[in-house]
Parts: sequence; C-alpha cells; structure tokens
Amino acid sequence: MKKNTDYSPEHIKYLNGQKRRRAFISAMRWGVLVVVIALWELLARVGAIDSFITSSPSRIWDTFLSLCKDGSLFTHAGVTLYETVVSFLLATALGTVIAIALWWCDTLRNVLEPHLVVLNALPKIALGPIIIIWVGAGTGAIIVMALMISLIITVLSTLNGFMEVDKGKLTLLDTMNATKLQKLVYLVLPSNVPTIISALKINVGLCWVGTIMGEYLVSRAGLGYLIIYGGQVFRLDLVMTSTVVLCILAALMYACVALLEKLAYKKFGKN
Amino acid sequence: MTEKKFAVRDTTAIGTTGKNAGAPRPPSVEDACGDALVSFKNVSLTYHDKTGETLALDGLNFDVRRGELLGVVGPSGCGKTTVLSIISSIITPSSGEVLIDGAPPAERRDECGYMLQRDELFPWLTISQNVLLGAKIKKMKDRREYAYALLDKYGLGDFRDRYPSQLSGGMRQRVALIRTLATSPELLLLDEPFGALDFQTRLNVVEDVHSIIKNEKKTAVFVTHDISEAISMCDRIIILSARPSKVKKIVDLSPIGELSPLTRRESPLFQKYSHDIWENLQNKKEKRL
Repeated sequence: MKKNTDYSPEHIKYLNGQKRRRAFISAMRWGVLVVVIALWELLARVGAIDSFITSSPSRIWDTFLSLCKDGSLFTHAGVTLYETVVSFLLATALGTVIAIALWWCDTLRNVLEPHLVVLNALPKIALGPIIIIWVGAGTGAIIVMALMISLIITVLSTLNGFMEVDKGKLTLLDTMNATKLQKLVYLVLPSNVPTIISALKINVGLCWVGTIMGEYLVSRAGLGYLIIYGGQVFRLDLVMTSTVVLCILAALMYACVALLEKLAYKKFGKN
Repeated sequence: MTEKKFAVRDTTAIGTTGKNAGAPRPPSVEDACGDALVSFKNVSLTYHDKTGETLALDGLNFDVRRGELLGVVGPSGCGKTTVLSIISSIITPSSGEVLIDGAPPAERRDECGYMLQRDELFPWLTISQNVLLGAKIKKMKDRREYAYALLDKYGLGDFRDRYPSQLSGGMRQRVALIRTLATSPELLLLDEPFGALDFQTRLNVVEDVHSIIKNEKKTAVFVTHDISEAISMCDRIIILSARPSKVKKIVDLSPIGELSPLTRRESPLFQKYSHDIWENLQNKKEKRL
C-alpha cells in the first residue's frame, strides 16, 4: 500500500473528496435517524400525535429501563435469540447436508426437485397448526417453524451453486481421477463458500421471520410474545420497545454474518 | 529413471491383472517400429444422446512413439479431444484396442498428465497448493520437493505462495503445466493448452512449454486447431478427417525437429508443411459441403 504522501496533489485532492463524501453519507445516515426520533418525540410532547397509540421515544426508553430492571427483557430477548440462532444453525447445517446429498445422487435430485419447488412455494405459515399438533405448543414448534421457512430455500440455493461449479475444473479433476468425495471436498465445497454465505444472509432474515411468527402462534415468552401481548392489552410502549430490541438484535446477527462473508471472500472470492 | 519404473510396473501388472496376462499380443505393423508408448488399433467410438447416436471415431490406427511430441489436428468437432479422453481413460472406446505401454488406459491412469485449454487453477489455493493438487488427489507422497524444484527451474519459485489472480496469463499456463508434471506422468496430454492466451503470450508460452517438455523428456500428445502452432511444436502431426474421423495423413516433421518453435516459424519448410496440412484439412471440408 502506498502512503498518501506518495501521490500527486491531484490524486490527494481526489482522495480527500472521496473521504469527505463518505463522511457526509455516514453523517446523513445518523442524521435521518436522529431527526425521525426527535420529530416523533416532539410531536408526541406537543400533543400533535397521541402517544397512547404511537408511543414516543422517551416512553420507549422508560419501558426499556423498567423491563431491564426486572430482568424480563433479557428473558424474552434471550428466548427469541435462542430460538432464532438454533433454527438458523440447523437450517444451515441441514440445508447444506441435504444439498450435498442431492448433488451426490443425480437420481435423488431428479426425483425430488419438483417436490422441493412446490414446498418452497408453499407459505409455511399454513403449516402452523400441523406443527403445533405434531411438535407441541412450545419452543420446539417455533424452531420447526423457523426451520421450515429457511430450510428449503437454503437447499435450493446451495444446490444451485453446487450444480454451477465450473465444468472445466470438474474436467481437470476427472483427468486426475478424483473420486466424487474428492471433487466435493477439493472443488465443490470451497468454490461454493460464497454461495453458502449468501444463503446464510438470506437465512438470518428468514429465521427471524419464522421465530416471530412461531411466537405469535404458540409462545409464552419471547419478543414476539411481548409484541402480541402488548397489542392485546393496548400497551403500545411495550410493543414499540420489543420491536426496537428486535431490530437491534436482527441487525447485530446480520452484522455477524456480513463479517463472516467478508472473511470468506478474502479467501474464496478471488478469481 | 522412468523407464525403470515402467519395467517394475510391467512385471507386477502381468502377475496381478488377469486381462492381458499371459496372452501374447497379436503382432501388428505398429509393433515393427517398436518404440510405441501408446498405440491405437482400429479404435471407434459412438456417442449416444437424446437426438441419436453419432459415430465420432471410425477405426483410428496410430502410435505415439516414446519421447515424441505428437500433434493431432483436424476440423472442429472431429473428435480430437475424444482421442485424449480415451488415452486418459475418461472415455472407453466402443471398439478397438488402446494400449499404453502394453496395458489398457485404465491401468495406466497415473502415467497420464492432462493439460486443458484454460489453466483451471483454483483461485482459493496458492500456486504451490495448486501445483500439488494432482499429487494430493492421487495420494502421492513426497511430491513437494520435486514440484518446488520445477517451479524454481521454470522461474516461478518466487510466486509459490501467491494466488493465481496475482499471476499473468502466461505464468498461469506454466503453473498449469507444472501441475501436470508434478505427478511425474510418462505421457502428457495437451488439449489446446494455448487457446485462451493472447497471441504475444502464446508465442512465448509455446516456446516455454516445448522446452519444458523436451527438457523433462516426456512423451506428449498435443491437440490443436492451430496449424502453425502444431508445426512449431511437434515431431509428427496426425491429421484427422471430419466426423466420423479417420487418420487422414501423418506428417513427419523430423527435418525441422531440432529447431525451437520460434526458429521453426522462420524455416522455409514451415510454409510447405502448413500448406500441406491446410490442404488436407480443406479438401475434406469441401467434399462434405
């Protein structure tokens, strides 16, 4: 890497311009957030909007503090986070294993492909009652729900990546007399790390959807439960606070996967 | 050294693999010249797909002599690559017999090194890991030193820990050749290995590859559609006819055999050979139209 001092004045000017622009965009991003929150608070304070219905940032903050104090926030957020992470890991692991099996056996793939496509098209929420009856109303049902939503799409997108492995590289391995397992380990899996990671990114979102949907249906704890409960007793402060916490958790989890992606691209994204 | 290895192999092959053991091979004309590493005897191949069956090779007869660089040219789609696939036992011919050093290709898999049109280097592996890929897959031990020596010898030693994306096209193709050589195959199969390079790089890489093959004293079969490239590299050239392909003519290039690829291009015989080969390829096409 060259240092700034090695460049010509024009280039330094260009670099500084780019830097300023990045700083501006970053400031504006926070600015939008601050303005919305401030406006919300202001309008609620002056009575232009009914804070019983819309809540307000200060009331959300108060609710947040009181939920923190009695520890119930951590219980609920913990439950939801646990359900999401478990279903996310299960979906990724199972999805990859199933995709490998389908890649390995052409006949199996040809037989199952239309069924997978139909399953993928089915709105999984419709399976809610069945899942509750089969698995029982509890954490299990929520995890199965989230799994249902994210598994099929993981299988399909990963399998798609597996099938699109560079033909020339497969031929190369053929000329080396590689076994199917060697092709999988040396070529198909490493070349699909980016595909798998992008499936992970989709899964993070889908697992949150699945978990909250599951909690709406059956739970006695969790952020989804808090939101439903808050809605039923008309405590919009509780609903808003839970939603904000949910937002933060989902963003954090997404950030983790994005970091993983960055690391993986460093190694496997070169071409 | 490689000769010795083959001798040892042969005795074990006769002892253990029943197919050819004991049964004397019928003598043929090809055997008379003796030094054949690969021999094709009346080899035919039929492809099957949804739309029907295609006779691709129609009774091919030729030898690849030990230590020679044999070119295979022919109109596009005539089955040049198929010949290599048969030698490396990726495809089994429908009829006829192929022998590599007296045994069918399936028993000689480790003796063949295949080089493809594109370098097919794995972007997530370093140059040294790429070069050792074949050895790793064939579970060959102790190839590292030899591979590193090859990299050093052919000017890639400093790039051992780099990734393919950091190398130029010509360098990548040299790495691909060294990857092929790293498993010490007796026979190199080159499938249009310069097709993906630009002209300038190509002339240089042809020069490099030719000298590497001759240096390492390998036998090679070189498939190409580029007549001048074939003339500048090979010792003999086989011209295949359009599909179903037969051996149309074998051109012996021994009069210019001692010259390097670049100096061959300046030889007065070069024009004569390319004209001769071009005519042979052309005639067939016109007949077909």
